[in-house]
Amino acid sequence: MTITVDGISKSFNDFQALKGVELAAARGEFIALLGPSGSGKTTLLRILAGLEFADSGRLLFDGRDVAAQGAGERNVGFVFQHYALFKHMTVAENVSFGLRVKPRAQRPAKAEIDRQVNELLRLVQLDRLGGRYPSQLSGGQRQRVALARALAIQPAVLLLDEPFGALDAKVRKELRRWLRRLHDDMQLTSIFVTHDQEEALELADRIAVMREGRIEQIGTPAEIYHRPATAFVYEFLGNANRLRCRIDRGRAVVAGLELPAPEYPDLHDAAGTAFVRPHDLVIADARQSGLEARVRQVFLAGPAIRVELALLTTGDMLEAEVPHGSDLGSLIVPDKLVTLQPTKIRAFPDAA
Amino acid sequence: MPAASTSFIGGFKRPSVLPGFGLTLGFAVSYLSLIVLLPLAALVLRPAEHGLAGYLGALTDPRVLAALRLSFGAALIAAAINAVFGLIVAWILVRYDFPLKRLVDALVDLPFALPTAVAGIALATIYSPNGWVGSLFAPLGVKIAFTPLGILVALTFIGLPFVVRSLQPVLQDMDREVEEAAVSLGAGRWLTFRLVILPAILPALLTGFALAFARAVGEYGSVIFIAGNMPMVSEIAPLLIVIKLEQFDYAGAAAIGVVMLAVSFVILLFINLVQRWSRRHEEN
Repeated sequence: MTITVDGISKSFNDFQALKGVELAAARGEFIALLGPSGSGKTTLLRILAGLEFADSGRLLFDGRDVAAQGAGERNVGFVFQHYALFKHMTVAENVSFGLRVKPRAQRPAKAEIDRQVNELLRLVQLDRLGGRYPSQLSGGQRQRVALARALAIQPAVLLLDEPFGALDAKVRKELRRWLRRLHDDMQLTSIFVTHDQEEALELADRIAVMREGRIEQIGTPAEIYHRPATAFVYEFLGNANRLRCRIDRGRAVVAGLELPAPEYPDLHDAAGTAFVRPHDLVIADARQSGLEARVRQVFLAGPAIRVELALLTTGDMLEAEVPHGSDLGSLIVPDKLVTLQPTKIRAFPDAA
Repeated sequence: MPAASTSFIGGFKRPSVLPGFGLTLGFAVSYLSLIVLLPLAALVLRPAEHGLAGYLGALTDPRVLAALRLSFGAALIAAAINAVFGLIVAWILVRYDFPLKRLVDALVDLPFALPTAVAGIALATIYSPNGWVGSLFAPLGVKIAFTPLGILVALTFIGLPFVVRSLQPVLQDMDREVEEAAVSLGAGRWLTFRLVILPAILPALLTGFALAFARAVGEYGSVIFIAGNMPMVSEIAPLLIVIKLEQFDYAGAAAIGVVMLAVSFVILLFINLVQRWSRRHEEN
């Protein structure tokens, strides 16, 4: 099913949660709504599900306007952040709920319901646990029950609100891959909300980065990561060091150091901010040219060595990453004076 | 047998970080014995002085049977009425905001606070054939005060807070997302209520029902003013007990008391079992 969100706005009392959001999802697409809390991503998801209604704008499923349809008529599977399982029902009863509440004419026979429930439980790898109650399951298992329950009504659209938010890191990673496979196998159109950029980058076909009720940028994970449209997107997609700079005719000047900023060939001496990812900062000894800085702290654990440095000129704190086993051992000790050479920056002029 | 073990084999005591099990259990048992069991024992032993025959004699009296039937019947009906309307009151108090909500919330407790005799006199005045409400029903040939119907009114009045106050916290804690999940799966309002909301609040509803029932069975003060107290028609068992006491028939009074106790106990036990069944999903 294709989904078209056309200029949707929504307010709660004085707070405008959505400000004319535009979004189009193609059939079979997996889209992530990524943003900080309060950016309106969950509100948008709930409007798609029919749990909330837009003040203005149009919402089309396969070109049909569904704005007037209630949640139950949209054939949308919704997975809640905290699962929202029916506590007094067994796993099997939870999963079969959507089938059991169908009008008598459309309701499958009991044997057929049982068959479908068993199939779904197998799909979510819980086939032995149909008789348990939700309180007897782990978080990851509950999440899968919630998914099976949403899939039971054979939705064309699957909406997930922070689906992995409440799970620990290992379970989260497993479920992520599994969900992506499930999405592809069942040919769903899925939209999920997350504030975890890693999750969005790994799982989604396209990411819509949201900020204060608007979509700031939408694109493939590679586009969003490598060509962020705004400073906000850049900062949201990973660790970033900020450096004040002047942008001048395709160059960004940071503390006397000239760096390429080819996005702005026409700007003349405009104030801006240059961003550098920690792994794009090369540490060299103090004789080299670059930004002078003093090492503050060194963290040796983790996939790479993290080094905290203070710029000599401004005192700003920066973070650099050095691969383990590099020959910089003598430089990355606290209080050592070094120079920093950004290999790749992204500058944004200040908003006028 | 392993030495130095703090757990009783097959017993209930296990090492625990929560202290004071022995002390609190001992206290609870002695306290309950003193406050609850001792008077009850006296009650049960009293009619035994006259032997089983005296017991049976007191209980086969049609007037006693009629009073017991009325007391338990009216109490059950009143508790059922309260369960339905108390649920509605609790629902609007929790789910909606409206002007004077705080005041309405406080009103619910009034039947708790009012001296029962005052309640009885007030109700009798309003529901008597020339009272505000009674005069509306009188032309229809319906008499409320001084009939069993009046007893029902009084028992409903005093039982309402139990249901409302039992349900309120549970409704407050209910996860709205669960209802939204039901709706998004295609359930309409009625099915969502019946399949999702009602099972979740059933234990609390039963608690309220049981409390309202227990209070109604034992209620005396408000009922005697509105009941009319006609033997075989509108005479409740607690009143009959008082009458027997005034006639110095202590054994007869105690016999009625024992029967009330036994029936109440059985009914409350039954409600408890239903409650336990409705909570089966909470066991791990």
